[in-house]
Amino acid sequence: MAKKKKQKIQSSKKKEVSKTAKGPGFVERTLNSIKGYWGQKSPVLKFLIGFAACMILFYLVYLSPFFVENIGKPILTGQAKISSLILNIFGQNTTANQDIISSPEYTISIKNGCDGLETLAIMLSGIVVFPIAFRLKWPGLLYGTIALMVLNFFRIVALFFVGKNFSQNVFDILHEQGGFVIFTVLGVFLWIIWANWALNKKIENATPPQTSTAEL
Amino acid sequence: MKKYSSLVKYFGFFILLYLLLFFVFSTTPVATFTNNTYRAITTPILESIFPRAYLKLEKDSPPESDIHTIRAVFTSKAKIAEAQQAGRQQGSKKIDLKAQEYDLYLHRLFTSFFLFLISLIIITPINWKQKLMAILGGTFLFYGYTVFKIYIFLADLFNRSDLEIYNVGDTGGNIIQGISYVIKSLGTSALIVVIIWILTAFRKSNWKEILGKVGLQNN
Repeated sequence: MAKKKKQKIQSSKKKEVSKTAKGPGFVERTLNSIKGYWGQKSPVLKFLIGFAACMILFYLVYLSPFFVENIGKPILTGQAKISSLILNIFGQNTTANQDIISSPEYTISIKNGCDGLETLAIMLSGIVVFPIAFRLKWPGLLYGTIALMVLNFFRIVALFFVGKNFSQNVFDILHEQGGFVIFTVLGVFLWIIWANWALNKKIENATPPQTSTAEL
Repeated sequence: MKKYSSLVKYFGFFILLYLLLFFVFSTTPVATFTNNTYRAITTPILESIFPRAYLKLEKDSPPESDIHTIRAVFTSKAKIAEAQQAGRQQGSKKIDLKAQEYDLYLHRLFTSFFLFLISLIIITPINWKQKLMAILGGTFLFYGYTVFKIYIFLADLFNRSDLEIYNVGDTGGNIIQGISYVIKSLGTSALIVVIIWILTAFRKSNWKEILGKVGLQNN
């Protein structure tokens, strides 16, 4: 009887030892395997997942009533004012009232979606999720935003001229189809310019400075 | 200026290629072919998705007869059966039932963004075999997205219309309406194209090389 008890105690001790020898628990092991899987994945796929997540977040904000009312509308009003200012430089005699730019001959209204924010979000998301240090990201975020906003003013101005001087059909093509695509491509190219600049900077920083040796 | 020459070259090539393709796809024979092919492939897919609906994708009818328009004509199969039953009781072989219509503008739905994708893939500095594979994969994915778009638009209509073909309730209706609102935007189509382009043309081995070739030249 005493022997049996001893055996039981020994076996329960063994079990305890084997339990501790098993290593990390289920949650930790699962996390480790996810980390391993993620680590092996292509950087392109990681970039795409991050990019898609950023864009979903953007649309959740961009289409929310709060954003439309409190941020979207002031942006449209500002864009109308600045575009009207540019049009007046070209002697178009326009005035801006909220999102409407009007001249005695033609009137145009800037609506949600014509604000260039979607293309801007594509470019900014591309920069944010790109696997590189933040000190190389901020110039892209700043100058990219300025460049796209300026380009959007010219897009609005160009659409005003096209609408005023050409048929509705030509305006539609430049507004909704070809023009929109070309504006998106500008955003993609700006992202490529930045990515290339950032990668070159990274290589430059990683390369140790060459020391010149004097000939004896 | 030399620093930007590569970028200007790729951008200029993209613009030229896109405008050329856009012009070709706007001509009557190519636009008609695209319209017919798109309807022929998509109608059976939508019919299988919505078995309770009588659904046809048709060409635009006169007087407009716009070659870029696809008209979705739909009604409830249950309503057709009811009308047939009533017709039989009255001894009439003909039934008169009004269908509902929804116009899809093919350029906005498919063509202009499809050409955007094709142009992006063609200008990407990868070999022609990879380009061909990317075009095939990209076409399949983008077409799938456009079918999804039509599915959402129709589901929204079916849920709202008095035909009561599909009723998904208030919550389901709100979700469909929300998705419909998002995907109606041109920006989402452009976004999907960019995602498909990266997915099909970029590889773990080539993405830095692609960015290097298209972007600023490394001095």
